[in-house]
Amino acid sequence: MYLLETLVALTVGGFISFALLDVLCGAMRTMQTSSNETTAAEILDEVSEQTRGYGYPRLINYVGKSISLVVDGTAVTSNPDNDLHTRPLSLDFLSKRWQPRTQSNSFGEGSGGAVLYTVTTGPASDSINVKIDVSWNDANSASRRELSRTIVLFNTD
Amino acid sequence: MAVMAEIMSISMISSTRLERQFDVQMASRSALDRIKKDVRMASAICPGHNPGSVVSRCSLTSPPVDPPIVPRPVLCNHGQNELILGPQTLILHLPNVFLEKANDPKDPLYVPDAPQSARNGVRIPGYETVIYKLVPDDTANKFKILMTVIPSPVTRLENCSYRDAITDSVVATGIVGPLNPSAGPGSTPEIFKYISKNPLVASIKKGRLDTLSQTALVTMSTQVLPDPEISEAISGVTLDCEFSRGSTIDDPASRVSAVHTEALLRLPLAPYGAPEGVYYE
Repeated sequence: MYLLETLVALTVGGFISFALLDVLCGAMRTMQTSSNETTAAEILDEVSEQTRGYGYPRLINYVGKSISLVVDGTAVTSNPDNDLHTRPLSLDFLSKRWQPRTQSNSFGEGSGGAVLYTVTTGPASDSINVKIDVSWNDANSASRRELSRTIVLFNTD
Repeated sequence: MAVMAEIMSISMISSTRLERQFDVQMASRSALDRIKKDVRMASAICPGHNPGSVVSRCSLTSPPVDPPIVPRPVLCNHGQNELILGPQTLILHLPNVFLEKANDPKDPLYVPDAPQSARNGVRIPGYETVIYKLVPDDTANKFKILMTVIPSPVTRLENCSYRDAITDSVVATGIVGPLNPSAGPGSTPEIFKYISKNPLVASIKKGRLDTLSQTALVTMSTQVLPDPEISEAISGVTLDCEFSRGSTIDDPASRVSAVHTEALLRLPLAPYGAPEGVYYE
C-alpha cells in the first residue's frame, strides 16, 4: 500500500517537475528573444546614428557597395570592403575580457546576428539611400528574424 | 517529501533567475539610456575636472576654427584628485536651456495647465558639468556608476528652472565587467571608450569615426592628454557594461547581462567648455 502511494507520488512529482521545467525553458526562451530584439534595435539605432554622423560627403564614395559589418569582435578579420565601421557593433571579445557565459549568449555568437550595410543612389538627385539590415536566429521562430531601416541623405553643400 | 522539496527548490530557483534576468535587463537599459541621452545633449566631452572647483579648469583658450566639433587640447597641471576622462570616468558639459518654471513638473511653481513658454528650449548662458564615474560597490568585486551634476556659477535668469547640484547619485549597480584582458583579477572594469573623427589626411580614413587608443586617455600625473590631434576631435562615447544580479557569479540563480551601446554628440559647432553660452535665437 505504501509502495503504491510512493509510486503515485513519484509519478505526480515527475509530471509536475516536467511541467515546471518546461515552463521555465519557455520563459527563458522568451526572455532571450526579447533580449535579442532589444539588441537588434540598439544596433540599428547605433548604425543609424553613425550614418548621420558620417553624412553625405563620406558615404557618397560607397554607392553601390554592400558591406557586412562586424557584430561581435571575436577574431581579427580583414574585410577589404569594410573601411567604414571596423569596430564591433555589439560586444568586443578581443580587446575586452567578459564573463565566460557572456560570449555564448551574445547576439553575434550565440544568436548568429549579422548586419548588412547597403548604400545606393537615392530617390532624388544628390541623395543617397542607406539600408541597414539586422538579422539573427531566434529559438521561437523557424526562420531568421530581420529588422531593417532605410535612411536618405541629401547633399547640402 | 523529498520530491516535493526538489520541486519547490526548482521553482524557487527558476523564478529567481527569471526575476533577476528581467531586473538586470531593465537596469542596464535604463542606466545606459540615461548616459546616452546626456552625451547626445552635451556640447563637449571634457578631458578633466577639478572636484574642488565648481568651474571646470579645462576651458578653451580660443574657440574652434574648423568645423565640426573640434575641442582644443587643454593644458592642465592637474592635481592629485583631478578627475580625468578615461575608461572609468566620463565628463560632459551640457548647455543650459531655458525652461519656464511654470512648465517644469519638478519646480514648486509648476502649473499643470500653463501654456508652454515660447522661450523653452532656447540656449542660455551657463552649462552643467555632468560626471559619471565607476567606483567599487558595497558588494565585493562589483562596481557602481555614480553621477554628479555641477551647475556653472552664472547669474540665474528669472522664471527659469535650473537643475540643482547632484552629488554621487547612484545610476547603476552590480557591474562586473568588462575588464582589460591584460589586467589581473580584481581590476576595475573599463566601461567608457571614446570616438573621434579621424583627422588623418589619407582619404581612406579621414572622417571615419574611430575609437581612441587607450594611451590617448590614460590618467597621467602631470601631463596633458597625449595625442591632441585625435583627442581634440572627441565626438562620441561607447559604453560597455556587464551587469550581474546574484550574490556571486557561481550562484545558480545569478544572471549576467552584457550591453554595448554608443552615442555621439549632436550639437553642431558647440563651443567647447565656454563659460558663456551661445544663443540660438
